[in-house]
Amino acid sequence: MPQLVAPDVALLPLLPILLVLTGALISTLLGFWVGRRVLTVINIVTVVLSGASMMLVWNRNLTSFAGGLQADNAAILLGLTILVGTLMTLLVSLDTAWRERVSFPEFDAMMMYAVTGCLLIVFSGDLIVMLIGLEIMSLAGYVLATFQGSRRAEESGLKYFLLGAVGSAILIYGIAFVYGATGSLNYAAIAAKVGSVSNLTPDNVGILVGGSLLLLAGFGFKIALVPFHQWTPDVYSGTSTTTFLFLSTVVKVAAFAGMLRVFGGALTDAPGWASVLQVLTAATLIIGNTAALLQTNFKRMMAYSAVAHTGFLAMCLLGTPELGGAALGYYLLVYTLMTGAALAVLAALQRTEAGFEISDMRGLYYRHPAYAIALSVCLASLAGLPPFAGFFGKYLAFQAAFQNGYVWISVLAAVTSVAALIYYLRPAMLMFMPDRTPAREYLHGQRSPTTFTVGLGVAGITVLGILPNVWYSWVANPAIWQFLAGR
Amino acid sequence: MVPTSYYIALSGLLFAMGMIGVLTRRTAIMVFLSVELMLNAANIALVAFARSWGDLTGQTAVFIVMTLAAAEVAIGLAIIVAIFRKRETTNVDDLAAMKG
Repeated sequence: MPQLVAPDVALLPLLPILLVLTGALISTLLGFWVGRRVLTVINIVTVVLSGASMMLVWNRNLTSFAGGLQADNAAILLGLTILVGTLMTLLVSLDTAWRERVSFPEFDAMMMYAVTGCLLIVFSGDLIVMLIGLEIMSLAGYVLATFQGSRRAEESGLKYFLLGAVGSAILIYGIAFVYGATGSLNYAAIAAKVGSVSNLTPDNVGILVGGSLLLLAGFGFKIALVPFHQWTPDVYSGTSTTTFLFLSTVVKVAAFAGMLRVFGGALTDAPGWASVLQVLTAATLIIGNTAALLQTNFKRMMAYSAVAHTGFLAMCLLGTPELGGAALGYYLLVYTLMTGAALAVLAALQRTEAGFEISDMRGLYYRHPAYAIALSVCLASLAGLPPFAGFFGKYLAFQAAFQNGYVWISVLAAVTSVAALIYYLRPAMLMFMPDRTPAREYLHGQRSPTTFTVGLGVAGITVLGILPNVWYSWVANPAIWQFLAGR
Repeated sequence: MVPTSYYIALSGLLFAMGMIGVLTRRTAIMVFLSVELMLNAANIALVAFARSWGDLTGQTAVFIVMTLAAAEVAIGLAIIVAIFRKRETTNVDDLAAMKG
């Protein structure tokens, strides 16, 4: 008679996820009785509590579910980045959701479920937990994209859903192949198996390469890597701006965290994927930046800017685990802050969900001085101008790729950054030009939660730009990323 | 005993059929059906690999993938129905207001 072994379920490492899940469940149930603003405030509290509970598990490397869940320091740093993005979205939604006609409790519930999935990816210790998190995140994301119910939102929701489902299917096939090659789904066990080629028969090496390329393609759909980026501009510009903020910060950070766990951890030593990733990164840099240059609508330009930034962020994955992990950890937070603040301004000032034309931004400084200055700081940071944090983030990404031997990618990224300078600074300059025509933006958009979010973003990128070590000293510890890679 | 490679060939065939379906079919429902085919190809591969390793983890993973597929159906059909109500079509070529 075999003995029944009780599963190893430690609740402490689960605590940050459980708190966010509590927020989601509260929104689902209480949504029948109380208004959405109350729920949003409750969710903000649960997000802050979840961040505090991450401090509890800091430096303890706890695991749960027999290694299925890992609350290591990498997870906590990326988890905090996700919570910052969530907080910004929730605050902005307090002001904009009613104008975007998404002000019902389900919006909050879906968002918090998505964040639960994001945290599950970040804390995952094996491929199946990662997959579950990714699906929770994506499924809630499809609903969020469709929520508004306008023709544009429905179109964007269906595109997101169909391409996201294809991406998930490819990802699952990749998981099956990696399992077939290594006989395990756990990151640490895969890393141990992949570590020396003698562990694998030649057949299995072939299966492993196939599996890791399928995983790369699946993740490529989630992070909008060219050529899997085609849904991105339509989904981002078709959905409500608050959802755009959420999808382009939180969801992207989580997908990158999953990539870091899989490619920076389990498959670090696997052959093949890095050479394909460098080609895709180069394509992303070229196509993302060129397409953004051609846009006339600010919202759509920001959507292409998200694709371009995928290229810069993916460069971090080409670096060694120590340098690349640190660069990605730093850049993701900065990216969240600057994109979040820029889109918060857009959400507050746009008149319709189509955003505004870049030419309409002329003279914005004379109508909304504070927001115009904040927006130009964000754009300068996105363009990578010192003294803002975007500069340091790009520098770290270039350095990570350069030091690992990808010199040509670094050169290409530097060239495309110049193109980025043009399309980011053109609206920034237009805002300060005098204009006598009547205002073409929403005049009553300046409200305190949005102002707080924008202030948080601008203060964050300025402080992190001048004193990068405030955050970099946390993420730069090589032990964190070596632990991730199982060394 | 049937060698594992046969099962993998079958799953590869299914996956390729699904992929071709995704790329060529023009109605949302058929695209979605093709995605389901790809998911089941992954399930066959997982079970076959689990058998060849003599390890049950892969087989339990299949249950999770099946559950995820069911959840995806729920969300996907809801979106497709919402669109069909408004436009009386689910042809993906008609959903092209945004381009470029």
